[in-house]
Order: sequence, then C-alpha cells, then structure tokens
Amino acid sequence: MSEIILVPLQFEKLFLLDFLKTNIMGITGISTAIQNHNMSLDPSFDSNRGQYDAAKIIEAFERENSAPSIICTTVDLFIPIFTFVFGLAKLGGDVGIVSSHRLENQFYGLPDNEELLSQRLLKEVIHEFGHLMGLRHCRQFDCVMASSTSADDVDIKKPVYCNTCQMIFEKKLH
Amino acid sequence: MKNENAKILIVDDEKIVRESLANWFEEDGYTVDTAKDAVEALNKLAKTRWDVYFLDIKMPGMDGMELHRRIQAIDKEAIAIMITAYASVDTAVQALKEGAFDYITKPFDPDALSRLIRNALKQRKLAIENIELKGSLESLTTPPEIIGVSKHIKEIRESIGTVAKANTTVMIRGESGTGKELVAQAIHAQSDRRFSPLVTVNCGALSDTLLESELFGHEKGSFTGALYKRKGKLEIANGGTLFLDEVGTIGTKTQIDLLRAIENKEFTRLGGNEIVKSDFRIICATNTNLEDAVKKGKFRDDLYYRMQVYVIYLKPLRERPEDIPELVQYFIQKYKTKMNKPIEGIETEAMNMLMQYAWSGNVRELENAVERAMVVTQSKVLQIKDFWLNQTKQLPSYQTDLSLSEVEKTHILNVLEQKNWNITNAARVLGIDRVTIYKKLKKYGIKRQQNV
Repeated sequence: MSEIILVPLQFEKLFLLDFLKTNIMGITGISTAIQNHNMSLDPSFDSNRGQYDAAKIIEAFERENSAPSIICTTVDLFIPIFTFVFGLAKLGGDVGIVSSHRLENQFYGLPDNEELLSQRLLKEVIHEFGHLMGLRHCRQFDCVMASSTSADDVDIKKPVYCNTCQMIFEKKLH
Repeated sequence: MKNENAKILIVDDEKIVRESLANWFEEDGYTVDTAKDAVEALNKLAKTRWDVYFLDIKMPGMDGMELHRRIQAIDKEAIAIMITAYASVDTAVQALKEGAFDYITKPFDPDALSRLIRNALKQRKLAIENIELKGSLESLTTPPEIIGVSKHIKEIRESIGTVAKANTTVMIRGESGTGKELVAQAIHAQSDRRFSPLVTVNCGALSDTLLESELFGHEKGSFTGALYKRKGKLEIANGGTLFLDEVGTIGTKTQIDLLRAIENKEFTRLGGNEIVKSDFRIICATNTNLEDAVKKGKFRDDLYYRMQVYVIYLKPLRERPEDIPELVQYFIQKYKTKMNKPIEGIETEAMNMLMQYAWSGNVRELENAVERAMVVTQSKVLQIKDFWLNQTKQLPSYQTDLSLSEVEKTHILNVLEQKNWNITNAARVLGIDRVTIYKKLKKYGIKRQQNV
C-alpha cells in the first residue's frame, strides 16, 4: 500500500487536516495525502433524523485512485439501526468515514477544546483505517481498535495499535 | 465467553438492519449469521444453535414473538433480544414476560447495544456454567455401585430404582455389614433430592438426650454447654434425605418427637419456641428385631408403622455366596489403585474358600479380609495363605453328603477354632468332658495348625 487518502467533505475543521496527515504517517508508516472531492452529502441527508447516513455516503463515494480513503466531515452521522456513529468502515473495505460532530466538546455543552478534538479525530481515523485493513475491535481498552460508543471511550484510547493489532496490521500490509 | 466463541443470529426482514447489526458485531469479533424471516431462522436452528438471538417483533409471516416461543422450545437457555420500533413496546414487554432477555428500540444507541450484548453473553455464560456444574454434580452424585450377580441383589437394585423416585419413607433391614448405608446412598443418589444433602445420623452411637439435640438442634442456653444456637440434622437435611442408622436404639421420648417431625415436617429446636419447617425424606436402617421391641413396648408401634412404609431386606452374604466373586474382584480393583500394588486377581482355591466361609460380618468383613490379604500378599495373585480368616474364624458349614463321623470331626474342629483351642471351653460347648475330646481328636487325627 503506497498511500492513504484523507478526503474532507463538508469538513469545517480544515486546519486539522495537516495534523491528521502528519500523525497518520507517523503511526502507520504509510504516506498520507489530502484530496478534495466535489461530492455532495445532500442525498445522504435524512430530514426526519437531521443526520447523514454514513453507509450511503460510503456507497456513493467514487474514489479517484485505488488508495484507501477516509472521508472527514463535521456533519452528524448515523446508520439506520443506530442513533449515531462516530465513523464507519467496512472490514477490508476501501472507504471509511469519520465525523467530528460528536467528538467536539461543544456537543456535550462543554468549552471548546481543539487539542482534545484533534486527538479524538486522529484516533477515530486510525480506528476506521484499521477496519479497512481488516482489523476487528480489540479488547485491550487503550488500543485504538477498542470499540468506542462515547467520547469518553475515545479519550481512554491511545492513538496507536496495541502489539497484537500492530502485528496483524503489518501482516495485512505486506 | 470470548467474543469469537459467542454466536449471534439476527432475524429481521429489513436487510439494512441485518447487515448493519451483523457488521457491528463482526467488528467486535462475534460469529454472526442472519435470517430474513422466521422460516429461515428455524431452518438454521435445525442445524446449529446460537448464544444470542436478535428477533424483530414485526416480520411478515411468523412474527418475532412466535419465533421466540419456538426457539425457547428448542433451546431453553437461549438468550433472545427483541427488536422493536417505538410503537410496539407493549409487545416487547409481553415478550419479556414470556422470557425474552431484553428488547431494544430502533434506532439503537450504540452504547446501550454494547452493554446489552455484554450482559446477554454474561447471562448465557452463567447458564452454560450452571448446566456444566449440574453435570459435574450429577457425576459426583452417581449412585454407588451395588455389586453382585445374585437374584437377591438384582431385586435390591430394582427396589432402589422403584422407591428412589417415590419420596416415601424407607426401612432397610439386614445384618451388620450387609451394606444398608450403601443402599441408602443409592436411593438418595437416584432420587430427585440428589442435589441436596444426605445427612446420616447413627442413632446407636448417641445417648437419648444427645440424639435429641443432634436431630432437632438447640437454641443458645437451652442446656448447660449449649453456648450457641445449633441446627439439627432434620433442619440440615432440608430438601435432602435423612438417614437414621440403628433406629432400634432410639429412646421412647425421642421416638414421639421424631414421629411428630416426620408426620408434620416441622419441629422446634430444644429450648426454642420457633417452629422450624424442613422438607426431608427419611431412610432408616436397623439390624435388630424391631417387631420384638414393639411387642416389649420399647419401640412405639405408630413410629414403627410410619417407618415401615417400604422395606428393603438385605440378605446376609452367606445366603448369597454367588455374589462373593464379583465383590472380591471389586475390592481387589479398589485397593489395587489405593495401595498401588499390581495384584491381578485371586487363586481359584482361595476364592472357593471365601465362597464357603460364613461371613458373619458380611460384606464389610469380606472387604476387610481382601484388604488385609492384599497388604500381606507377596504375589500378584491372592492365595489361601494371604487370608487370615480361613484358619481361625471358619464357622460351621456342612454339606449334606457327609457321614456322621465327618460332621462330628468338622464340628469339633470348628468349635475348637472358635474357642481358640481351649479344650475346657470347647468341651463345655460340645457337652462332653475333656477326656472325650482328646479321644475324638486322636480318633480323627485332629492337630492344631500353627497360625500365620
């Protein structure tokens, strides 16, 4: 694998992209690029829920090259069975998506904290990329592949794969 | 339960729900399968079982409620989680009443779903553990072996099987050492009370007052030395069986209390007023002539009849010598392992000797004899010389084809053995004088053999 592509779609936190790019490269050892895309998220909007269907976005996304892509967005994501998702990626798939919407402190009525948001977003991008690489959820609580259903869960994790996940990751990579 | 060992079946007519849930659980490492309707789910159920079932309540054809009932009929321990839209919460509550583990309303909160599946699997793990533990308990409470090939032993086995389930009072009668306690254990182990205790009280070993305290328990300070409140055996045997050995020795006062406790299944502790209820089954045993004791007024007839509901009479070993070879082999195997001695079996002559011996101490004596022989033997096969009993304790055993003088010779020899070759004592038993004994010994060429 030569590259990971970060695609901002309705992403208002563009200043975080460089931080993500640098750190993803550092953690995965894979070069990371930022690529703009003109896809509209409107068709994925559910007016009843006021949220965007993450599965539909992934399905509609057309990649410009064969590199795995992670879409970054600030819109609130859901899949039909869940009230929300932080992100979504199919095991062994090519496209994943991550939302900063519920990773922001403001969503929980707390003061803005960009440092915390950047860390949370990085962890979620690394997590969804792990799924694209075929990694499942990890039971080690501080592994980035541990399942997170709240922002607190995300905070507990480190932005890196545990030894076991790292081994699987490297195996899949080669 | 590790995630990869946990199997989940999702039954929902909506493809998006099936796929999304399946993906979610697969990411967590669970083994997941899906079915679009009840028919497909039941077909899959015919081939394998799942730990947790997610069942959509509203489905075309058979709905989730009916499917849940069908699953319960197949796998009682299955964990079902009902999937419902807000509108049908009432139905979900109904499902809970019918035994579903929980329900979730669409769309699910990811955090709630994570917690739900963790709890569901914990419950499933406990249920499986419970079944396994019961299984191991079952093996622990395997009925003791009643060894023997005789018609009598076969009848005893049948009697045990019949009476075990009946929950009735059983009286086991037989000489000492015939295995009365073993039969009591077998009855308990085959009864529905087998997971509760079998409490044994040897009535003969206790004085009347001690027995009373032992059976009914006592309150603190009820008598000198009663420093603490103590539960009685009747209370401890709650749910299980109380085995009263040597009931013939129970004093009259305790007999009255015991009769009342047996009939009402309630009693009070010594020195107490609180009525204690206990659900116990009584099995009693005696080697004495209870009928005689009843006639003499030493044993209450009402208690006697209460205990004699079902009687198992164990014949003494001397009346069923055909059981001896199997018993001997059983004891050899038992002590071979215990003593770690490679003993293969027993010589035919030695076995014949054991079969002709009168065994006044019955199976217990036989077991002790075999154990002793296995201790002293130097060979891999037990021989006559390994058995101590053959020269000292042989009781009269006459064949009908013997002449009068042969019977006389054997009888004199037996009496002498019994009296440890004390001529005076033997003469007294035989009703002859010492001179006559000496004459007979000379006549029959009887000489004392040196014991081992």
